[in-house]
Amino acid sequence: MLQGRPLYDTTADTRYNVPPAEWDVIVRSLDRGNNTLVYGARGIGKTTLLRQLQLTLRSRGARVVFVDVAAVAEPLELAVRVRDALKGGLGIPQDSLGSVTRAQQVAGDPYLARGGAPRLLHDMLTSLGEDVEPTTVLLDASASAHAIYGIFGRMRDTIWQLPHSWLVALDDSDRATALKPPADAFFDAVIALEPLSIERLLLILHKRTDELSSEVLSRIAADARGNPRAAIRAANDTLVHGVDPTGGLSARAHLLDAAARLGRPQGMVMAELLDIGQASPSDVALLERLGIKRARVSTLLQQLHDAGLVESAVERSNGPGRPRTIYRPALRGTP
Amino acid sequence: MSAEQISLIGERAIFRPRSRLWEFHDLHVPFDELARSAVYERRAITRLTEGMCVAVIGPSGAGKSSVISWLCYQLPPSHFALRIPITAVNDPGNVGEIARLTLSITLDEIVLDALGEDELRRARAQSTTTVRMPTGVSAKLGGGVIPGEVSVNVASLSEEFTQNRLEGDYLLALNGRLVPVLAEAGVTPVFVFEDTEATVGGADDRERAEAFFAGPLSAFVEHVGAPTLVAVQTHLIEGSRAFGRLAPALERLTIPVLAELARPVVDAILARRLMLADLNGQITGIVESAALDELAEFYRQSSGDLRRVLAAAHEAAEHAAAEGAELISLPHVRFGIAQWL
Repeated sequence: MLQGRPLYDTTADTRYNVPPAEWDVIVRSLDRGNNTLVYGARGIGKTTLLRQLQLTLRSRGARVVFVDVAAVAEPLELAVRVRDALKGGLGIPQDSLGSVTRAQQVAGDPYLARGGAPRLLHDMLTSLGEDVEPTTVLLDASASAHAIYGIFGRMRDTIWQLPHSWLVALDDSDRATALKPPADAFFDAVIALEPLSIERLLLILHKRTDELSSEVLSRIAADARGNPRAAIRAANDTLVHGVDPTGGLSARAHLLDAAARLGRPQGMVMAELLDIGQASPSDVALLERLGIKRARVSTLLQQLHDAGLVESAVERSNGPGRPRTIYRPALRGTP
Repeated sequence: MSAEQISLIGERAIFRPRSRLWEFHDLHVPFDELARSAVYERRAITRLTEGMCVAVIGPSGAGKSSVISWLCYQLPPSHFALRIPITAVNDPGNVGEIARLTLSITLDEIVLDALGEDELRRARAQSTTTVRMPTGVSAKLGGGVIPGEVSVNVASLSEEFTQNRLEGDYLLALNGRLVPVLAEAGVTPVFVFEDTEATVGGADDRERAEAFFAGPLSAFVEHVGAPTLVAVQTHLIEGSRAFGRLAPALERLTIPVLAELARPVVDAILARRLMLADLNGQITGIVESAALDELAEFYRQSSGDLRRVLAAAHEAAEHAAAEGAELISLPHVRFGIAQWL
């Protein structure tokens, strides 16, 4: 399964799913009825995350709907799509929203006309709470920052009156627009989807294909910069186009490859370094992730250094304490 | 207090700050009661019943919506409050659009009130969020009943409005026709503009804020013969010429930071919520005294941000409940505050 499409909320797709590191935090947030915003780069797995959340919540008997509101320009259009998902309906085609008059005709209720567009939007939103049980609404909202702000910023108080709780997934670049005050106060939890670790990417690749060697998959994972869509596409390209991944090794893949030749622990340390950019043997987070002792990490980093695969620099803090050595992958000067 | 009761406080989110306007009025402890004064809510009620407009001013989380909701439910039967969802208007400076929206909401409410005041009361008593009526959703926040005769007397206005024959003179229709019919029947509407920051569309959009103050707010304050009750963020009026110009015609209720009284403020607000949840007894039997002091300090440090104080108290209660504690203690509250720093 090496297509770039998101995973659906089906059991067939679930076997490919590798939940992101943030999964537990997000589920806990939703369990507490929090309005939650998640954001991350394109291809990081937002739609898959939402679909899998839908499956999980539904299997526990919760009421949940998934609404695709990608590339929606107007708050009213967004409201209509949510209404259709909550209540079932035909929706208003995007092009017929060119004028409010037309939208009013489609909405078909004569009293709406006299309050104008603001009244229509307000009524559309309040209707989301009528004849519907409290529901968790999952909004997949790439490239819809303006409409998201219109609903959760300007119409925040109206949304607050509804019995539902909301999870909105956004692209990184849309966050500032969508979270302008007062929308910032609407979301009880804002969670960043970080780039995936190389290990997690490997897990995803292994689940999806057994046609490529572990070595090839490692290189692909190292090169994907934490982006699962990029990793899956690269694996697919390798199979379809017969691209020899050893031919065009990037600097990152080259470093990982060379480190892995020194031994598995060295490869692991390099994978971590490529993920986090730089580290010192005294970094608690690094030690925890690797699960080995500090002295051992120190030795491994020194070996990588001796092999010319990492660079080191001494960092002096302004405060008390000894200066510490920082290691970075030796990427400088390479493309 | 038993561990079960602490767990109940966490589970039922008794301390959690409320966001639904209908839920506020019971929970609100008037600032007059806290400060032993008559210059906040009391004075505002007097001014509103005299026909004056009132601006409730404070930073985010200070309790503007709570004050407004409480005020609406304290109105005498001669008045009724309507929330006008002005945030739905694209251009906050557009007087005509906001007058049109107000007209539309008020006309619907008149029909609705005549139809089902009793049903509405029942739903509110059960704290249903919205009540569905043939004409839509109620915007009424409190006050007296709109007499049935009004709906007959506005019939022709309502028809002209529906058929789009008002030719854009919505402010004139509101002030010259709708308000007088209501006055004749002995009732006065109070128009509630509750979320100015959202209407303006962003914390730092001074230009749009000025347009709202100079346009719709000025029009309602100066030309409409019924009071307006408006919530305004402190930072939006700092240095605002348009708002300054309205000052003589507006009663200001600036929400105080009762720094000296921080501890009694925290005690009173939490105690009120416990009482409404039928958990009676001393507040110190539920929250340790040192923990209440810590919340009081948080209230002072956050310059009176009651929403965050309550959110921290709620986190503390959930934390204590998870531990099976019999008292919400200082470490629980410190944990709660850390979530909201």
